[in-house]
Amino acid sequence: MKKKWIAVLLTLAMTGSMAACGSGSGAKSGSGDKDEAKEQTVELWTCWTDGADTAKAGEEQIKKFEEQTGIKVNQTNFTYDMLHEKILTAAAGGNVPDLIWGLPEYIGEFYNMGILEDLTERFNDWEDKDALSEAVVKAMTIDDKIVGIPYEMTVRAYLTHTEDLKAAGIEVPKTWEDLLSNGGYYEKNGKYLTELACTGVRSAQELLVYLAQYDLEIASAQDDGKYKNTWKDNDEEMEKATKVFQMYQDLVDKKIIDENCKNWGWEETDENFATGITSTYVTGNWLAERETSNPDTMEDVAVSAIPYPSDGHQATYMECKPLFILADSKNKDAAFELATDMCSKEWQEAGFPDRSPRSDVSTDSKWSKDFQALADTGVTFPPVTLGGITQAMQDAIAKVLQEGETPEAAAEWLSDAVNASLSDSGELSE
Amino acid sequence: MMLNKRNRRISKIVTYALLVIFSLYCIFPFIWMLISALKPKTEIRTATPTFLIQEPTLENFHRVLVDAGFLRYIKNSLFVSIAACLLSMVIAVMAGYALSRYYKLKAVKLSNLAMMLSQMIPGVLLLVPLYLIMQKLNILESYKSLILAYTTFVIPLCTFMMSSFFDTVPLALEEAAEIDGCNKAQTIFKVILPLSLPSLVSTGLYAFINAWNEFMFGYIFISTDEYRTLTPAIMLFKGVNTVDWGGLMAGSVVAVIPVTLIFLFLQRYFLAGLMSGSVKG
Amino acid sequence: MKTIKKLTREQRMKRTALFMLAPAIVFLALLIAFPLGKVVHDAFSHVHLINKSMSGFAGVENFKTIVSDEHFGQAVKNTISWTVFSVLGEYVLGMITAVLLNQKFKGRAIFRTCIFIPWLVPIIVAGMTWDWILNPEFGIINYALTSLNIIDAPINFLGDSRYAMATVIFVNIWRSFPYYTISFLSALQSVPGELSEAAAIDGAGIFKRFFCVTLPQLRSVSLVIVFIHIIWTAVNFDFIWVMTEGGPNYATETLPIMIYRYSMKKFDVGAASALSTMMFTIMVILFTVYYHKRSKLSDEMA
Repeated sequence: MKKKWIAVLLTLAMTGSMAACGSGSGAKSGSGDKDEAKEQTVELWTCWTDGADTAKAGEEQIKKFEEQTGIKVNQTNFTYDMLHEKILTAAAGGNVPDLIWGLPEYIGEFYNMGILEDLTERFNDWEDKDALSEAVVKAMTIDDKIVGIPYEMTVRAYLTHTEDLKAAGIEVPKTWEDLLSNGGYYEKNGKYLTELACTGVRSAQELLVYLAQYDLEIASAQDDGKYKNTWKDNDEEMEKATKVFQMYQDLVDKKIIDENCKNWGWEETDENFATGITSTYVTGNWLAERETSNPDTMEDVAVSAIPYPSDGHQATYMECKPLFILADSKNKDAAFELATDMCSKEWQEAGFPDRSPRSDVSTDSKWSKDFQALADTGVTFPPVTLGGITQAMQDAIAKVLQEGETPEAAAEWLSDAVNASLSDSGELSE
Repeated sequence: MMLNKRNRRISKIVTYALLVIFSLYCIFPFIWMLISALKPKTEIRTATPTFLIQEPTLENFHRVLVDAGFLRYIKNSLFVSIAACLLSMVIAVMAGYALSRYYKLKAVKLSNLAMMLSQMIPGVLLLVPLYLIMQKLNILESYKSLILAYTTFVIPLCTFMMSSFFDTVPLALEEAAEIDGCNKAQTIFKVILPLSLPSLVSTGLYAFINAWNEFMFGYIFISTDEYRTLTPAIMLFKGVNTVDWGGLMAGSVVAVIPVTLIFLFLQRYFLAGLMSGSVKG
Repeated sequence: MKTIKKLTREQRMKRTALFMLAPAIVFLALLIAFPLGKVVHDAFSHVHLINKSMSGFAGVENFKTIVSDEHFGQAVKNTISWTVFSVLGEYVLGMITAVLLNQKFKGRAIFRTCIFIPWLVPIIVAGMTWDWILNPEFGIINYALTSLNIIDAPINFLGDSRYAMATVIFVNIWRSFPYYTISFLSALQSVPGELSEAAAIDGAGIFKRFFCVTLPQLRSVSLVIVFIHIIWTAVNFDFIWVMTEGGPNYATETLPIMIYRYSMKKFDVGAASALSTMMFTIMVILFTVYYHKRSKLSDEMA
C-alpha cells in the first residue's frame, strides 16, 4: 500500500517535471506544420536603436513590404554583439534566421564558416544594382562572390568644434604634423585637442585608417588567393607601420590627447566629443543624433578630412554594412526580396537618408554631403576572419600606450600576430 | 545586561553609524539608477553629474514599458522564473529527502558527489553544447529551454538546502506518523513539508531570483521578442553608436523592483529557512 | 527469515531513494554531464568554428596552445586574486554586518533589507550601473572625489589597468557579501545568546567575545559558504564581462573570460574546451581538499 502511494506521488512529480520536455517535442511538430502553411515568412534580425528614426522607418517599411508582397516578416532586434554571438552559436546547430543585418567585419568570418548564401546571380538580375557604386559592391564581395546587400554606409570624418578652434586661434589640422604642433593646447584651453579610440571595435577601425594613409594593409591578398601581413618582408612597410604607432605615442607624449585615452572605446570618445570635452574627433555621422541630446555643444561642429601624414595621403574608413542571407534559410527568394527592398530608394530615403550606400540618396546636411565627399578615399578591412586580427590591432596599441613597448616592437608584434591569426583560420598564404 | 549604560550607548551609536554606512554602500547604486531613470535626455549625461533633477520626467519609463515592450518581457521573466522555481522546489524536495534519509546508500552518496561537482563547471563553457541540446529537444525559442536550464543549475544548491533541513527533522516524528498509519507520501506531505515551510520558501526564492537575474542563457536561447526575458532586453539599450542610459536605467529599475518586493514579503521565512539550511550546508 | 526481511527492506529503501533522486539526476545528466562529456571530448580534438580543415584527434595540442598563450599566466594570476580577494572581502564585510545586525535595536529590519538588496540585482544591471557611476568623465564618484579635493584628477577605475582588477573586485564584493551576511546572521540567531552574555559576565571585551564565542559558532557555516563562493567566484563570467570584458589590455582577464575569448573570438573550440577541462580538474582537486576538511570538522563536532 505504502509503496503504491509513493509510486503515485513520484509519477506525478516526474510527469510534472518531464512535462516541459514532453510538450517541447509537441510544440516542435506544431511549428513545423505552421512553417509549411505560410511558407513565405522571412525571419529578419536587425540591430537598430529602438525608437530612433531608422527603426521607425524600418517598421513602417516592413509593414508596406508585407502588404505589397504578401510575405510575412518576423523582425527581432538585437545589438550587434548579441547578434554576432547568437549567429556563431546558432550556426553550429544550423538553426539560423533568413536575413540578418551584419557588420563588414563579419563578412570573412561568416563566409569561411560557410553560412552565407552566394547572392551573385540574384544580384546580377537585380534591376536596381546600378545605384550602388563600385566600391560598395566590392565591399560586399569575397572570393569574387557577392554575399551581401548593403543597407547602410558611413565613412569617418574629422569632426571639429569650430568655436573651440577659433578660441584657440588655430586652423583645422590637416596633417599629423599639424596635430602634433599643438603641444600647448591643453594648457591653454583646458581641454584636449583630440582623442583616439584605443579599445573596442573602433580602435581597429581607426588604426586601419592611419595605416591606409601610408598604403599599408593589415593583410594583403597573395597570389594563391590567401592573405598575409607583409610588413616584416618589406623594410619600407615596417618603417611606415612604425611611424603610425609612433604617432599614437607622440600624441600622448605631447598631451594632444588625454593619457586616459588608452583605455577608451567609442562609448567614451563619442561622448566626450558630443559634450564638448574634447575639441575634435574622428567619428561617423551618427553624431548627428547628438544634436538633439546635446544641443548646446553640438551646434558648431564642422566636418573635414581625417588628418594624414605629410608623406602619406588622405584615407578614411568606409563602413558598408551588409544584409546577409544565410545559406540555411528556406526562403532565400523572399529574403532577397526583402533585402533589396531595404536597399531601395524609398526605404533608404526613409531610414538612412544620411547613411545610404546608394549614390542617389543623400541630403544637403553636412552629415550627408560633407561625409559623402570623403567616400572616395574609403578603405575597408580585408575579407578574412577578423576576430583575432582586430583583437591583435587593439593589443598592439596597448603595447605602445600601456606596456611601454617601442612603436617598432609593436609593429613587428602586430605583423606576427596577424599572420598567426590567419594561420589559425586557415587563411594564411604560405 | 552586564554592559554598563555608557558602554551600551556607545556601542549603539557605533552600530547605527556602521549600519548607515553599509546601507548607503548597498543602496547607493539604486538611488543613482532611480534618479537617472527620472532624468530627461538632456540632463542624463552631463559633464557635472548631480543627484538633482531639474525636470523630472517619466518619459524613460514610458519608452521602456510602452515603446520597448517591457511589459511583455516582464511577463516572460515572471513566467519562466515562477516555473523554474516551482519545478526546482519539487525536485529539490524529493532529492533532498533522499539525500537526508538514505545517505547510507552508495547510489545516494554518489548523487551527492555528482551534485557537488556540477557546481564547479563554469556555465559559459557549456553554452554551445547546451544550445545544441536545446535544439535537439526542439525547445529553443520557447520558455521551456530557459526553465530547463535555470532549474538544472539551481538543483544542487536547492537540494542541499532542503536536505540539510530534513536532517534537523527528528526521525522520531516520521516514525510516529507511520505508527499512526501514514504512509511515506502522507508523512512527507502532512508532517514534514508543513514543518519545512521556511526552508521551502528560501529554496524557492533562491531559484526564483537566480532565474530572474540570469542573462547568458536568456540571450543565447531566445531570439524572438515573444519569449525574450528582461535581462537580455535591458542590454538592447546599449546600442551601436549610442547608449540610451535613460532607457537602460529605467529598464533596470523595472527589473529590480519585483524581486525586491518579493524579498520584502518573504524575508522572514527566508532568514528562517537559511537558518536551518546553511548551518550544515 | 530475518535476513530476508532485512534485504527486502533495504531494497525498498534503495528503490524509494532512487525514485526520489531520479528527476534531479535526469536533469543533471542531460544538461550538465552530457555537455561536460562533450567539452572533455573536444579538449582532445581539433575543433575550430571557421577552419573546417582542422579536425580529428589532437592529443594534448589544445592544452599546449592554452599554456603557451602569452596571457595565460596573467589570467591564472588574475583568477586567483579575483577569487581570493573577493571572497576575503565578502567574508569580512559579511561578518561585520551580521554581528551588527544580530543585536536588538530599532530599525533592524530596514537595515537588513537595505543590506540585502545588492544580491537581488541582476549582475548585468549591477555591472552597468557601477560602470557608469565609476566613469572618469561622467561618474558621480569621480566628480565627488575631485570636488572634495580628495583626488586631483579623475581616476579611470575600470579603464586603468592599475585599478581595474581592484574595482571589479570591489563591485563583486558589493554584490555578493549580503549572502554571507544573511547566512551568518541566521547561524548566529540559531545559537542561544546566553553564551555571549555569559562571556560578557566574565568580563570579556567585545573583541574577545567575538573571537572566542562568535567566530567558533560560525566555523561550520563559514567553511561551507567560503567554499561555495570560491567555486562560484572562480567560475564567474558575467560580472567581469559586463564591466570590462577582461580589459583593459587583459588586466582583468580571468580563466572563464579566456575560455570565452577562445571559443567566441578566436573560434578555437578545442582550445577553449581544453582550458575548461583544466579548470574543472583544478576545481575537483580543491573540492577533494574541502571534502576532507569538512568530514574532519563534522567528526570533531560529532
